[in-house]
Amino acid sequence: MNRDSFPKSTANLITLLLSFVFLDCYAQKLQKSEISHDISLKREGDFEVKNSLVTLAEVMGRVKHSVSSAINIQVDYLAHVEFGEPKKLYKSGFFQARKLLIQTQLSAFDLKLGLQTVTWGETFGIPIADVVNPVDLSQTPRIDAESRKIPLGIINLKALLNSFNLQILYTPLPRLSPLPQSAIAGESESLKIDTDSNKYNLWTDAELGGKFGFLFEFGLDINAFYYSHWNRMPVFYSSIVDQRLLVQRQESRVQSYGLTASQAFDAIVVRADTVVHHNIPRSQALGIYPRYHNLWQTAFGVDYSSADQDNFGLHFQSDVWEKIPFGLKNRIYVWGGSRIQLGFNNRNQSLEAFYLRGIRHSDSWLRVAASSNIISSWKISGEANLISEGSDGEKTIFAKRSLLTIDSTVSF
Amino acid sequence: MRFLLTSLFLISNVFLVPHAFSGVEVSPDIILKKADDVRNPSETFQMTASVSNADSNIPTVFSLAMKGKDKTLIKTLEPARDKGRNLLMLGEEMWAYIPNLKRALRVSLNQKLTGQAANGDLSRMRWYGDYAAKIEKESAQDWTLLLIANKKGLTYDKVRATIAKNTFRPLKAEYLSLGGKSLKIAEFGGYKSIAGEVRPTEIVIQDTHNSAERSVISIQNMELSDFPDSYFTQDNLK
Repeated sequence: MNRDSFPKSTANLITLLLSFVFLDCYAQKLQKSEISHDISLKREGDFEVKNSLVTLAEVMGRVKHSVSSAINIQVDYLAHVEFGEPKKLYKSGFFQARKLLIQTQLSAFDLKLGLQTVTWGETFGIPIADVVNPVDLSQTPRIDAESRKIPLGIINLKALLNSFNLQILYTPLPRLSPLPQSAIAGESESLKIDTDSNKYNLWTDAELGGKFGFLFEFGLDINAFYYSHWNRMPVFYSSIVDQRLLVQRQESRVQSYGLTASQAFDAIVVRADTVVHHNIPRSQALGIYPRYHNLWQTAFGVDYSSADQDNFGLHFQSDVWEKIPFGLKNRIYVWGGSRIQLGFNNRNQSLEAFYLRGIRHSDSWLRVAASSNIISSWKISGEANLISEGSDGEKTIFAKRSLLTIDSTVSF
Repeated sequence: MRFLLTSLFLISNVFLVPHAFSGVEVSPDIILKKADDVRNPSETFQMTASVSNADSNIPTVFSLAMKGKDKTLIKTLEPARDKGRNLLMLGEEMWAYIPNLKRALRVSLNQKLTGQAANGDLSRMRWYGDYAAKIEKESAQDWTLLLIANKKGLTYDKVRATIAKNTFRPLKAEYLSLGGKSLKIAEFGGYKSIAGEVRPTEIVIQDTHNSAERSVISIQNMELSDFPDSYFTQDNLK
C-alpha cells in the first residue's frame, strides 16, 4: 500500500481529492461509522539548506466502521503531494495506508489484524520505547515521530484481566527503513549503494514480542516489554565487488527489553521509560564491519498541569552505549530539558516550547510551536525545530537540522 | 421529667430513628442509590452529551461509553478543533490522546474537557459507593444529603445533594471543598424518558463565586450498550 512514486501534477491532485470525496460520501452512508479528514497546505523543510523548503498538500483521513458490536474495520490514510520541482532529498509524493485493519473486541480480548503502528512508552521527547515499527527515513525529517513510523502488518492480541494487561505482537514480514533519496543519489559507476528495502522473508524473519502491565490501586501503571526485531537505524559496511565499491546494509537481530511507568499525583504526572537494546550494530570506518553494542536508554519526566490546563514539564534522558566485548569503556550521554505548553483565548491559540540540551556535551534540540484556530475547523500553525549536533555528542540521534513547518489545516 | 422525656423523644426522632419515606423508613445510602438509578443506568451504557459554556457560543459534543462505575471512554465529536481530544478514565486514573503528538499519554487528574463541567461531571455519574451519605436536612418534599468522599481522586471531596422524596430525582447538588467551601452548584432538570427511565437531560453547573462561569450539560441520547472490557484501553483513544 506504500508507493514511493506518486503523480504530482495538478490534474492528479484533483483526481485524488475527488476520490476522497467519493470515499467520504460512500462512508457517510454507512451506519455506525467514524469519519474524519484533515486537509493541510504546508511549507516545510530545512531553512538553512538552500532550496530545501517545499510547498506540499497532505490529506489525512480516517474511516472506522463498526460491522457489529464486536467487529470494526479501520482505514487511516495519508496522501502527500509536493508542488514545484522535486527537491531530490526525500520522496516527493506518496500515498500510504497508515492503518488498514480489522479489529475484534470480545470480552477481555482485543485482536487487531492488519497494517498498524504500535505505541509504547510514557514520556515526551524522543520515543525510546517505540520499538515495534521502523522509521521512514525517506520522508522529510519530522519530529512528529508517529507520522514517520512505517505501518506494518501485525497480529496484535491484547488481553485485559482486571488491572492486568497482556499484549502479544507478531509481525510476519518486517520492513527496513527506506533511505532518503539523497543516499540513493550518491550512486555512481564506482559506487553501488544497497537500497533494497524488501530484504526480509515472510515468517522466517518475523519480529515478535509482547508487553504485560499492571495498574496498581494507588495509581502506578507499570509495564514490561520485550521485542525481538531487526536493527532500526541503518548500518553500512563496504566491500569491493567487480572493481566497484559496494556499500551494503547490515541487518542484525536486536533484542529490546524495557520498562515503562507512570503515576499521577493530582496535578503532577511522573513518567519514565527505560529500554535495553541488546546487540545493536553501529557503522565503523569504510571497509570495516559494524561493531556490536548494547544500548541502554532511559527517559524520565515530571509535568504539572495548572487549573487553566497549561502544562510545565521537566525531562531527562540518557543513552549508555556499552562496549562489546565487555571491558571496554562505556560511553554515556545525558540530556536535560523542559517543556511548556500554554493556551490562550479559550484554547483557540496555543504556544509550546521544548528544549533539550546535552549535559557535558553540546547536543541540543529547541522546538517552538504556535497554533491559532481561525474558525473551529481551520487551524494555522507554525513549528520550528533547531537541532544542533555537538562534536562530542550522540550522533545517532542528533544531526544538525533547522526544520520549519508552516501549516494551514482544515478538519472535517 | 415530662420535659426530659419529650426532649429524648425528639432527639431520638432526629438522630436515631431511620428516616421515613411515605411511611417507609429509608436509609441515606438507599436514597443515594435510587437517585443514581434515576440519573443513569447502573450497567454499561452509551451517551451523547453537549456542553455549552457561557464564554463560548460553540458547544462541545462528546460521546461517552461507560461501564460500571470505573470505566469511561470519552470522545470529542465537535467542534472540529477539539476532535481527537479523547479521554480514558479507569477508576481515578486518566489517559488522554494528545493530537499534536498523535499518541495517548497519562494525564493529571485535573485535566479538563471543557468549561465548568469537570470530567467527573460527565464521567462519574454515580455517587453511591464513592461517597458516604448522611441526611443533613429533610422537608416534606425532599432530602438534603451530605456526601463525603470515601476515596481519593474524586472530582469533589464533598457534595450536598437535594433529592425529591416522591421520585428520588436529584434536584440540586452543591459541590464543596474538603473544608466545606462551596465551589459549584449543579441543577438537574429537563426530565425526559431516556434509556428506559425518566432521567435528567439538562444539568446546569455554575461557579458559586462567579455567575459568569456557567456550563450546561445537555444529554442528547442515552442507550444501554454492551461494551467489552477491552474497549476501555488507551488504543481506543486514537
